[in-house]
Amino acid sequence: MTHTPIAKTGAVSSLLLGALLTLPLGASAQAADPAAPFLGTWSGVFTTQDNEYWTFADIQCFVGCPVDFYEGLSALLANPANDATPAMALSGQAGAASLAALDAILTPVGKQVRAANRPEDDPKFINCQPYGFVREVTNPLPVQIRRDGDHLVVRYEEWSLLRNIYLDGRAHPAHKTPTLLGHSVGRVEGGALIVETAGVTPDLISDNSQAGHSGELTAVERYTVRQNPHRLELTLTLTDPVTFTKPLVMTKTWLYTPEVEIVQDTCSQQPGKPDLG
Amino acid sequence: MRARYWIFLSTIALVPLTHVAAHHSPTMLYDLSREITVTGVVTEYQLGNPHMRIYLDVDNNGTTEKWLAEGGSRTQLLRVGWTGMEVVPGDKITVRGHAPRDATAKLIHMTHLTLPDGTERFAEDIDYEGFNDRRRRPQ
Repeated sequence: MTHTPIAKTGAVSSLLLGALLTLPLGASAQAADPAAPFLGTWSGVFTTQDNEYWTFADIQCFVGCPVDFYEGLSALLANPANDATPAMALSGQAGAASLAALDAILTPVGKQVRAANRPEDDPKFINCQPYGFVREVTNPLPVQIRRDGDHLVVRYEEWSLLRNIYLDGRAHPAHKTPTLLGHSVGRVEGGALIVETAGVTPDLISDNSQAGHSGELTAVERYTVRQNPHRLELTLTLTDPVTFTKPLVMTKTWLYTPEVEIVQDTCSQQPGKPDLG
Repeated sequence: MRARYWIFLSTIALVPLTHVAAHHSPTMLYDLSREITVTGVVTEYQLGNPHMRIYLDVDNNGTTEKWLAEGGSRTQLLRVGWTGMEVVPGDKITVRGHAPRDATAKLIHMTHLTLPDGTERFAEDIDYEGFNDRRRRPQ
């Protein structure tokens, strides 16, 4: 059986029509990416300081902070009875309470680690080496999140580090050499992006507390996107049986800033030489 | 080289440099209610990570003191036009900023840098004091 040219044209037209009809469906499928709300460039206060959303408590938490500190300070600032007290003094109160609470959950090893940490001996400062997991995740500089197939790529301006978060349901590898940022798997659940990380190298929890964590650390990041203003909020739960008797919960917020460009970061600076990254 | 320099500075300055690490909150180290000004000669300048640092020799009645002026974050300063060539060793500069909580420390949280030509530049990431009145979120 042979087809006339007209029949061939009709068949091709049908194929094209079918293809065109399927395009919107494909586009819809992409738009339905549950991780889509989390994609983009997000900034802390450094590049958004004029935004009225930020409060004094946010500034005090610009490198991330324990939730009890943020909530405690916010409550003190909200109390009209404290209006005559300088905000910095209230921050001191909240900070002391938060550090006492941190001390209370440190294991004997955790206390030893905290007492032994001396920033001037920290090679990450002396030798300009990137931070470990917790300080990198809560760092104050902009961060960009994009989708790359089965995973998210998080591009931190701080130290120009890249991090993969696998969304395909895989488990952490059974045997893997620990790394600075560990191995991360994620899922979107009830509108929140949940990221679980393990396999990190021991490091500090924060410069302010000088508390540390071991290689046994497991972390759960819970990111939610909120509006007015468009922002990304993190609740970071740190569990480490070596240094904590119970989980430590931290928080940090970024604003959505598509206009902000990520600046290349390096450790190449030399005295008296241009340092443009 | 840098590590050795740091150890040297830490030794002579005892406590003061022990907390100059990473993106710490300035309130941890500095008294943001007390401003000081220091004039000296640059010995080293790093538009470094995570913070910009200027080391300077300060003449205190014939005695040379080693000071460290700590400014803003490297990439944030790059974002607003800093290049790493603002000063070079030998330049006489004035830095203005917050005093350390430890009164013996030769350390300053530099908010402003006056260049040899008299130009003053804002040298921090943000104006922390500008947030003192932002106690509550706007409704």
